[in-house]
Amino acid sequence: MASQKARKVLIIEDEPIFRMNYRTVLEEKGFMVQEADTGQKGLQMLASEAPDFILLDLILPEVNGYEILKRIRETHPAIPVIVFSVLSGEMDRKRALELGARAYVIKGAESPTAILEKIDMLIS
Amino acid sequence: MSDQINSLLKRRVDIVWIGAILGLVYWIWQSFREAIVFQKASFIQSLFFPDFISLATRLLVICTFLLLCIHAKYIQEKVLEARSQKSRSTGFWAFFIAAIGFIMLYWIIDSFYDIIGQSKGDIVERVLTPGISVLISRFLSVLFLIILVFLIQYLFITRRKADKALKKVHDQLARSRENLNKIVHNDVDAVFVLNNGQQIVFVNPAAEKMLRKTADQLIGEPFNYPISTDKMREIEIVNEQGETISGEAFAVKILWGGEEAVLVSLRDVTERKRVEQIRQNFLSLISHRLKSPLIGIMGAIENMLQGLAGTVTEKQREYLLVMRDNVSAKYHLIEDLLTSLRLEAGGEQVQLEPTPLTDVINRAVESYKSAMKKKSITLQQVNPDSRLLVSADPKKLEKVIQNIIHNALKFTSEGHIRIEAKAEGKNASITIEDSGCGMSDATLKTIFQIEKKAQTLPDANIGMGFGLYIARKYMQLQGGTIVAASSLGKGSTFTLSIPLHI
Repeated sequence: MASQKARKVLIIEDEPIFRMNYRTVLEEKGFMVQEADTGQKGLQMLASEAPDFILLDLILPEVNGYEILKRIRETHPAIPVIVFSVLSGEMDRKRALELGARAYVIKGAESPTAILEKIDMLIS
Repeated sequence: MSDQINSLLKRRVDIVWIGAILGLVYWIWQSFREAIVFQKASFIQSLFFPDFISLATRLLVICTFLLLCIHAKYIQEKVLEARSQKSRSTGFWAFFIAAIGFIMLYWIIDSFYDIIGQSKGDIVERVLTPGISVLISRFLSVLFLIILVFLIQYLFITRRKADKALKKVHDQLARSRENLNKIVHNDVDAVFVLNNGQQIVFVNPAAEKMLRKTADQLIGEPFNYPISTDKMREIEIVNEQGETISGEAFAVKILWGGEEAVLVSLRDVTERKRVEQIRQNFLSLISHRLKSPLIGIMGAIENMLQGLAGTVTEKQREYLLVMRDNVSAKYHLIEDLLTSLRLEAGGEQVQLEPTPLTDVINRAVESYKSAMKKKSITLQQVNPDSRLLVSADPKKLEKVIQNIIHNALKFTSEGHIRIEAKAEGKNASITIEDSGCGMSDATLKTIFQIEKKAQTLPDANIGMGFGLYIARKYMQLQGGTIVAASSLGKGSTFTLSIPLHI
């Protein structure tokens, strides 16, 4: 991936430590990382500059992850979205996938590096 | 007591009726005899205007007969009372004796009638040799009357008794049906009866209320919800008003009007489900708030260990590893705590599916391999046929095996951990044996119980111990079992049993 032309990733995540973790791993792999700490900001950034893919948390202030998934499906259906959540219920996974998420990853189950490998597979 | 007297009096009334009818018949018969056999007067005259002697004879015969009947009945009552049991033969003999008595008395009275009314011979002659025509007419009278006695006894007493008994049975039936109806109609659970074609043939008011339809609308409709007669099923119904009702359906096979049918009892658990959902959401929220920062920290440590935040010195690396283990332990503790809370509240459900046992064991073992290596514990693994399928929730079964290995690893400082799985009859058994410190019988008794741990001070050696509690609950949910055996200083053995997939 690092050898490819820099691709843009938008992280919509309210907790700074997760943004930091993902940013570190993604930048190491040569991605251009943009961050939004609320759902509203995420949507604004999405409108101004479309990324290549999106990492999305579900529990967010202002506009929650499910709502964002709906909006993305309306405005940018081609952009793959990977949902990251601490919610491990089957219902949450189903709902996110139904709303168009390309993958659903439970936070904590895998290390950031392992997660990135998954992303790699998804977008290549 | 007064009831007995009343019933006795009532039966006497029956006898009076018999007497009255017999009297009437005898009256007509005697008139016929006087007119035809003795040729005393015309039939009409004998019937309506018998002479004084004839009248006296007739009244005497009727009274005799009545007295004998009453006496017979009285004897019968006494006998029944004494034996306090019903006996048809007692009644028969009482009437037989009465009949014999009646015949003899009638015979004598009629002889006297012959002497006085017709001035014929003397008493001995009239009783013993009354002449062929009189003999025949007397015999006919007697025979006729005896037949009548039995006929009337049957018509008025036996049948009435049978009717009474029948009515009693009917009343009892009606009462029990009424009681049953009351139960079914006032039952808060919805009750449906389905015929062989799964069509509704009966509903109770609770069912009408639940579906917001009348019985007329429901009967004949198909019952399109999954039910099974061997276990409770949870079903969801959207009724006429668009409300979603969560129900627990119990079904049993019954005979309905002689036909095979299914009785479905449906309990409305919507409110309980709602509360459960609130609790689930609440647990989810706590879970998020507690787990999220730990996961973030673990990720950051992981990144640093991989050198993504600059070169790490050996000392820093040591710190980071200890931090990672600590945070990871706390993360798992919180997860186990939340799982235990869910299990205690019965909110945990399993999805049973055909599961390759070897895969599950391999996955469970994988995460502990490095830790075993570090402690120089050898892993002995005897796997079953890789095609062996068990009926389990793969994630939950994996968690159970992990928890036991985790436990074994914690209490074993050297030696081995042996995992052997094989098919045994209808189940698969998984034995996890360690060469650790083992435990006393007293400890062994408490390892699966969360409440026992809460009663004692925290024990560093035992830990919080949610792991084995969860293991046991998970095994129960999957229809399996878990047992532990241990000997102090020699090690412990945990044996899991789980149904094979058939």
